[in-house]
Amino acid sequence: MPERIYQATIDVRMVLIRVMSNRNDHTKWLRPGQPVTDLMRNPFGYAGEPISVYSVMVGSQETRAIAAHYLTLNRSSYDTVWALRIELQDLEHIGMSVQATPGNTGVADIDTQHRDLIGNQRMFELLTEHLYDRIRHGEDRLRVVGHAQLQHQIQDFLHAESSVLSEDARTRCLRLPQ
Amino acid sequence: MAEASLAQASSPTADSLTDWGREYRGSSATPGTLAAERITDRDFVAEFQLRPSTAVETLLLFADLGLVSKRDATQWVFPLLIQARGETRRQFYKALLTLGEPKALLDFALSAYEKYGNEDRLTLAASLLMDLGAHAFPSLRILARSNRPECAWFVPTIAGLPDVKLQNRIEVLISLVKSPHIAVRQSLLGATQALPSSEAISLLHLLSQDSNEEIAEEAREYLGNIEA
Repeated sequence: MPERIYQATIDVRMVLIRVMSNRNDHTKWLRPGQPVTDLMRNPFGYAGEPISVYSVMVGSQETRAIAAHYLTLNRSSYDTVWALRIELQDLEHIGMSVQATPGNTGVADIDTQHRDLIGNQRMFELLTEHLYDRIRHGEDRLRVVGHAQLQHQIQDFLHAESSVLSEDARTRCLRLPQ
Repeated sequence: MAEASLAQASSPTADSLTDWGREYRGSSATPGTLAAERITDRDFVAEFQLRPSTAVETLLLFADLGLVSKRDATQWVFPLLIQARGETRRQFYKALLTLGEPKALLDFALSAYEKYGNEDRLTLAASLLMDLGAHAFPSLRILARSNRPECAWFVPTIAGLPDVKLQNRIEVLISLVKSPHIAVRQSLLGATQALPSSEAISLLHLLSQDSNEEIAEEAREYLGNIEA
């Protein structure tokens, strides 16, 4: 039998992801006629404050960032989480900016990818409208990550050196089912 | 004090909070003799804008001396935690754990979320309550009785809270099976992993009767995996 050669699909798109912890909240973004105020409540809020995101390549690095962010939730169980994918051109379109700021996951290579979205409340409303519109047009702006992917990444973190994984992050990894 | 006013306050006071703190550290003053000396949110914010790290350290000292209530101190630090990053966030997080006011944390997180949204307010509060452990349980039990939709963010904390009797945690989780909010009942599914099998099975049996077919089906699937 010929050996099957596995070839990973590499998507080189860089996106900013806003990781969200309420497992089914993403379904709102798939339904028609959702009010912008409802859609923006959890990811961006109404205060025009800096919003925490990660700049990642879609696919594996994105999953790693979502799992690293999961550690900040400080849980002892896995649940489905999801992320909104924001492209730089979305921000340019609205006039928002991005600022590099340190992350707090305790996973060094992800913390360096942390960014803040900077804009006022109106800009976040426009961003929400824009993302909702892009999703309606069929773009893949939602990423869902479940138990299996999170657990795999947590195992990966636990094999990392101390220069990559902080002690606090290691403790949080160990609190999760192995 | 509203979060917005905390962020906007900017006038530094003539005598800085840090100087007060330094003076008190070196004096033989007691909370009683210092009772007339109070600090306000404006003092704290003004100091924070000049020396963030020292301001928090001094606030903790003042809270320890009873010059500011731990609840007020929590109210001043929590909004800053949301926007802080890196080492500053770690310092605020640790300060809030030192203040150890779970009820205040929940109250301020929920009211700020109601007003400004942004789930970071809830996830950070949930994380802090998890680290506060058993001390946070009474506040979480009250939250569970409130029937608020925000309970969904705290269900994993209730399920995994360290040093709380399993029976007490289960009682609260079971009460949430009747929550009118789908998101709360859905969050119970994942939280069952934090429980021993027999308790997880009891909870899943209840969820398998849920009026929402997706929840009921997922509960049956989880049950099948545990019982296999």
